[in-house]
Amino acid sequence: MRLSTRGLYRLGAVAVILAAAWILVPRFGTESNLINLLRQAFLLALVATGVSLSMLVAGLDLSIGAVAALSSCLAATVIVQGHVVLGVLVGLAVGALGGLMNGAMIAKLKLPFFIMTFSMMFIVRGLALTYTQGTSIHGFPTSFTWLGKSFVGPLPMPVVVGAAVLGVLHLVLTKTTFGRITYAVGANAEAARFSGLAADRNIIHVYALSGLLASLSGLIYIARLNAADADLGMMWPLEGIAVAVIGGIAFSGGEGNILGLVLGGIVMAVVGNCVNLLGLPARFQDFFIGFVIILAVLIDHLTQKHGKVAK
Amino acid sequence: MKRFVRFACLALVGVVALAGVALAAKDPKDVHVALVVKDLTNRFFVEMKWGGESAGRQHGIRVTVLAPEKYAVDNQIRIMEDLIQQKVDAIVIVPIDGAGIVSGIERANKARIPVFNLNTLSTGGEVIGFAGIDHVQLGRIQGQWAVDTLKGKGNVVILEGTTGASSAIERQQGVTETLKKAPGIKVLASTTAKYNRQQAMKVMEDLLTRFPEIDMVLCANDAMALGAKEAIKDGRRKMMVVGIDAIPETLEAIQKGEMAGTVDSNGFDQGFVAVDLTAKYLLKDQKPPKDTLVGSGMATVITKENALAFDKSKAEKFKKFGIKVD
Amino acid sequence: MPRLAARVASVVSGPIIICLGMIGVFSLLSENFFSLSNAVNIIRQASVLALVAFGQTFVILLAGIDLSVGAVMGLTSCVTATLMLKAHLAPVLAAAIGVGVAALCGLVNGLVHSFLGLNPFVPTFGMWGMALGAALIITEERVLTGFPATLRVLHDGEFLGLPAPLLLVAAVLLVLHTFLKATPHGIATYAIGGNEGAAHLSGIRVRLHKTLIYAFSGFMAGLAGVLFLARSNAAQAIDTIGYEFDSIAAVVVGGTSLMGGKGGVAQTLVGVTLIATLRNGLNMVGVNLYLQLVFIGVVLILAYVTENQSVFHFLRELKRRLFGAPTSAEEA
Repeated sequence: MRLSTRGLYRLGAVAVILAAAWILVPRFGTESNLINLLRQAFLLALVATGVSLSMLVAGLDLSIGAVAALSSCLAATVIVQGHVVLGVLVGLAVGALGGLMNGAMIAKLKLPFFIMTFSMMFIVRGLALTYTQGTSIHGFPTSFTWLGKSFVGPLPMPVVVGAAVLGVLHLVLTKTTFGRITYAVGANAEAARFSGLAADRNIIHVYALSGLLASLSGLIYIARLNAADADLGMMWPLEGIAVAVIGGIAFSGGEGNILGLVLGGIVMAVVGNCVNLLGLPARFQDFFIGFVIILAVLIDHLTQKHGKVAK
Repeated sequence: MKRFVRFACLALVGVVALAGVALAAKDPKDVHVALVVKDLTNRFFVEMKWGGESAGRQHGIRVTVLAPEKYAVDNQIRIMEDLIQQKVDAIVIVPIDGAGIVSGIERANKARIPVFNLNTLSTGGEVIGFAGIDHVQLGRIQGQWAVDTLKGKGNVVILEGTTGASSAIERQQGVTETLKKAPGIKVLASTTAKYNRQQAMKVMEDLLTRFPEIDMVLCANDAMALGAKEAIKDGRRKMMVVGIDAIPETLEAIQKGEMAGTVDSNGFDQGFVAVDLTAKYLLKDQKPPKDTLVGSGMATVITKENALAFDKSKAEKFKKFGIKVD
Repeated sequence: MPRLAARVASVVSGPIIICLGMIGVFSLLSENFFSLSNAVNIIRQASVLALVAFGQTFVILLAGIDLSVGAVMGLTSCVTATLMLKAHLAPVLAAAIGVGVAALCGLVNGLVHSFLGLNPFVPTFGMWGMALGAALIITEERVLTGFPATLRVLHDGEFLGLPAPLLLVAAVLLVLHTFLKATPHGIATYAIGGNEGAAHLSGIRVRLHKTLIYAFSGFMAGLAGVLFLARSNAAQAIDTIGYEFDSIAAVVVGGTSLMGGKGGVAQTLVGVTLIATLRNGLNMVGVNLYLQLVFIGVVLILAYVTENQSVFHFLRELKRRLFGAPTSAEEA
């Protein structure tokens, strides 16, 4: 994987942040904390994948949290009865379906992504809440909770699953036609259409993938929590955007890569972790995140000026 | 022009059709009391809803229970405004914030709709009465049990509720004032997990990192306790976890040994008492007492020893009132 | 006769039809919906969103977006409350400073976007986080209450028999509408949104103009924050989170295009009215709380589809996809 200058700057910045935390925050560098950190970072990066993909095509999927909630609640109902594999499939299917609807309405009926995913968020969240009536579904068999709780060597399963998914995504984005079309559509959808690329189909696939990844993230979360609630993922769209932006994915589309996502996840996880370890009140976390976002983007912008022509 | 007319006709037909369906399904008018709670995704308030509805059935009046879709007092004000427009006979309000709800209560006062204040004290506006559980008392019960069980010595961490929420402030007050009486008990950290399960799991994880020796975790509600116990289980640590609210999932966890105890905050009785007093005010002109304190369903912490018995007594109570629990 | 009807048909857009349809349905399903007092009720409930959405309209006309308004509203209300409580400032002065802070936030947004060339999502999103964080820090995450009730007249008061928020929104609407349609600066806003390059070539100082518009959006968010404070009589940092998305939805549903250059504050008023009427109506009819969310989502999609595509285009498109028949020129 070839690292661009921006990627190098990012890597450097993250290294500095980690070093600073190691020195200044007590117990940051302990093995158990680093493992927690890694797990949290990959969980955040996974949540952000769907958002990032939709951002790559100059869109935004605001419905990821709601889709994760509905799909995981439906999946949970099946899983508690012992049918783990079926439950997982149900969850993923619901997520993909929701994403498909988003993509179809956006690509074919030319609905602005904002209105479509925003409304979808309401509809799906409402369905999830109506379905559970506010109760939680809990008590999963260990054949399911391993998804969130088990380890592969020293690495938590969410990290392994996350790394695998992100790795595959990276390959897809860089090595396949689908990936190339995605970047092209993001850069300029009209031009892509004129050059004969199946832009509409690509957009539909991207949003379907976003929904699928949202439901996967949801499943891992409920496996970890050992319970499914309809209020899962309330902050996911915003957290996902934060991770994506810190990671260098542009809202205007066509820019960004998976490594950036991982780095973004790490930064977000570090901020949260340090705030807790230092015993700081939770409110500082929001402020720091906002600050880091602006910093990340500024760095991007300044490094960009040296290379491409600024927009 | 033609298309516009066509569309307008379609819309008209649709409206008339819907109206027909609605009129056919309309209920007879009755005394109508509205109970506005904080959040219906919380089992505690669901039980409060059952209590209110049971009291309503006893008096033969109509009771509707509402909650805002967003956990914000502004949305509760909006609900109250809309209830005023619906000309309800009385409103029982559980304010998300005691000060923020005042303008809503005052609007109801202006519309001459009686308001009964439940569970969380409002700081203004005219109400016909207040009923609630003493949150400070809940905190004291939890704190005292901690002192007794740890025999006056040990390390504890506290997970607080949403910062600024009166229930959180009061429960915290009860816990800390009781713990202070035992100098051997050290409060290593007291931080908020916003009454949220996922947040509590994350915060607990980091607390486990910070402190290698923890004996007990005191949580201001069960949702947080359930999140914390998962983190403790995953971290393969051993410590006691106590919550408040006594929801069914907690009782299960207690019986499985994953949690040590919880405190009953008696949502059902609170809802029942509030609607009962309001109904008596509307139907029989009986002015409710200024303050009615509803006792905790159990004056002690519910632990493995008595969890089963507590659960059974609750189930019987629900059966008595004809409530279907799923 | 046909010309008059055609003019009516062009003004009465999809969202207006849906609004009227909703009013009809709700009036039949709830006996208290169709009343003067409920109309006043809806106006009061919609006024905060209206103010924020007007500011957002300007930004969207530029083909931009302002994600920070919800947090900035909250910052204003928290700053105003804190100044009244801790510094014992007069309410009007405290409110003025609060609004000033909001305008400053908007200015920063505008500067970063216009002069640094960053996509508007970015600075406004970052500002969202920082404004929220600042509000949480100022209030120490608590709810602020106990300040003088002077400002409440903005929401509860009545002048000449009309509710104060109505007068406020109407006045603001009139001023902004005139500005957009009749002044060179207003028209320049449309020009920039339509084609920024062309606007620049025709002599408009695009970057200055854009910066000021974002500052204006912050200003309107500040006004909305003060009105919100007047309404709830308490300040809490997280209470206004969500208004950013609601304001964008109101603007887009009302008919202003996200691509810029088309729309206006009058259309936004329709969007705001639609959302507020829907919420109120669902409450009045007593629809299950969770189902309300589903309704809102569906109606939003419907409203957008009938506005920008116009129902006929949409149905034509549907017909084409289902039956594959080519559209003939005379259908247009």
